[in-house]
Amino acid sequence: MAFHAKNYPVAYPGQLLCPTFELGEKTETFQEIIRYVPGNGVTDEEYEVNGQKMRALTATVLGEVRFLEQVLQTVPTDEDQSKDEKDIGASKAELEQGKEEQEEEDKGEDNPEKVFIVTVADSNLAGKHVTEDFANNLPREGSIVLARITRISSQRANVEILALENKTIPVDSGVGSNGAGVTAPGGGSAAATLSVSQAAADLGETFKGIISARDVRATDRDRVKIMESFRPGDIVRAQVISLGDGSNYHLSTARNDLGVVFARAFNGAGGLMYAIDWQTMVAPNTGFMESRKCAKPF
Amino acid sequence: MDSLILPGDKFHVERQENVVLGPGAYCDPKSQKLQPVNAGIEVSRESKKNVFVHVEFNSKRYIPAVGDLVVGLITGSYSDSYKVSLESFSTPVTLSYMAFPNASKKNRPTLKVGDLVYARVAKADKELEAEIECVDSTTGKDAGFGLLEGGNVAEVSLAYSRELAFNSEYELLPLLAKTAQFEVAIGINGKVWIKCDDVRHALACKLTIEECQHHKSAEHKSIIAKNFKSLLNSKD
Repeated sequence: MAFHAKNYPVAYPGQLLCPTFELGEKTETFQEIIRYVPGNGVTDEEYEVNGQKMRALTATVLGEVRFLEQVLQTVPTDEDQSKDEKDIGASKAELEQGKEEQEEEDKGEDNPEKVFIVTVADSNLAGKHVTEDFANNLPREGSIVLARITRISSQRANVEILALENKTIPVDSGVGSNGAGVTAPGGGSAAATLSVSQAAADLGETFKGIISARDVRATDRDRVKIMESFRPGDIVRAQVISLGDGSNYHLSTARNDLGVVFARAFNGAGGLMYAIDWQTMVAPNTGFMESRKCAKPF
Repeated sequence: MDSLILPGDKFHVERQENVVLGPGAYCDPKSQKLQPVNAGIEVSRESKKNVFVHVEFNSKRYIPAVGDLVVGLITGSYSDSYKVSLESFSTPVTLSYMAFPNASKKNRPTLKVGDLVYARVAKADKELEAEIECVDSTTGKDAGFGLLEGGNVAEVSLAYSRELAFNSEYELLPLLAKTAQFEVAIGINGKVWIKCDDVRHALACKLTIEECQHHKSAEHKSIIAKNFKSLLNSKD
């Protein structure tokens, strides 16, 4: 039985999980090779057994073992897509037939290699909307983060990163999710989960970021006024565009679903404000309007 | 109406709409209540459209406000701006190279670190570093701004510098002019730059201005006489 099909109850640090590769099904034409790649919570270690050196994947944290098969990237053609669309309306029998065809196609390819990414993660955290597991889940290029504006100048806004939005796995198998793979920001059935940083903001332990004036919005980038986009204390949803140097991430809000999500009037002295359009927020109790670069709420 | 007002008191304004708030008056963003936040003399002025309210109070820490004429000290120069100190231990302000008469990207102004400038506050957002300019941005002329060469600076309280600058009936400078010839630039940030041809006159003027802020205007004449007499009689 292949390692990825085995049922591990739980893995502890130091536990051997699987070799780096194994031989899978063998047919007359080819020999399948299964390769295992270490993911989060797993390391590739070298062991010596009977004087022979071997490599094996070993757990480094306590948690549940997951094998994720990596789909070999093939560019979907128009034909494939139209077939997919037909599948939705097609009967079950046809659908299964289609799947068989697909599998045959896969087998027919030259690459008989299967790749699995092995990860170990705390199963208690899975499925929760907010987790404290920020350390294993650091901001990287393309990540969506929630950040607080700490100071502004005319060229840039400095922020501290508070939480990282995780990639969602639709619990409902995508039935209620609105969009192919991309989740609705802050809402919808496939609501995002967050990894919250536990670092102390008053000690400067949090990760810092910079939103420079050119990265505030997508249009008219040279005429951005930071004062009319962010104020100190605002909570913004931003995307990491580069890791920058050691001290600052570079963030961007140049997208409809990015920008200020929470803000109070008069730099926090007034009431909570709500976005009424993409560059105006209003405080309902006083009626005062302030200009911000708002995130599209839904 | 001139009356003493303390923080937390009520302003004596009848009309509640179109009230324009000046220094010392604060509108609470949550309760929308108007109240004084400084102790001083309540000043309210009514025009047809608006009521202007502010508290006339004395202080020494200058907070930049747009339109103020200030005397600043250049403390650093960067690629496109100077860093200017308006007051020791306060946050510096910026003076852009483009904020000079006939400025262009090619010719930079020739100010150096340590120079004094007379300038106008152009931007004073409380979340941002304030900006000053050495040019009247409406006309593009220099309007008396720029480098202050020589002379020396008297440090006075903010209320006194406002008195010197705005009260045309205040007699100190006319009195001083009877005794000595001088050039003066009054900064609302509590810095009064004064320059005379004679060093002893300059020193006497500086001492007089600094001393007179603590005395009634009736005593100014004798203070001027005393300072000039003692300095002019001293043997170098």
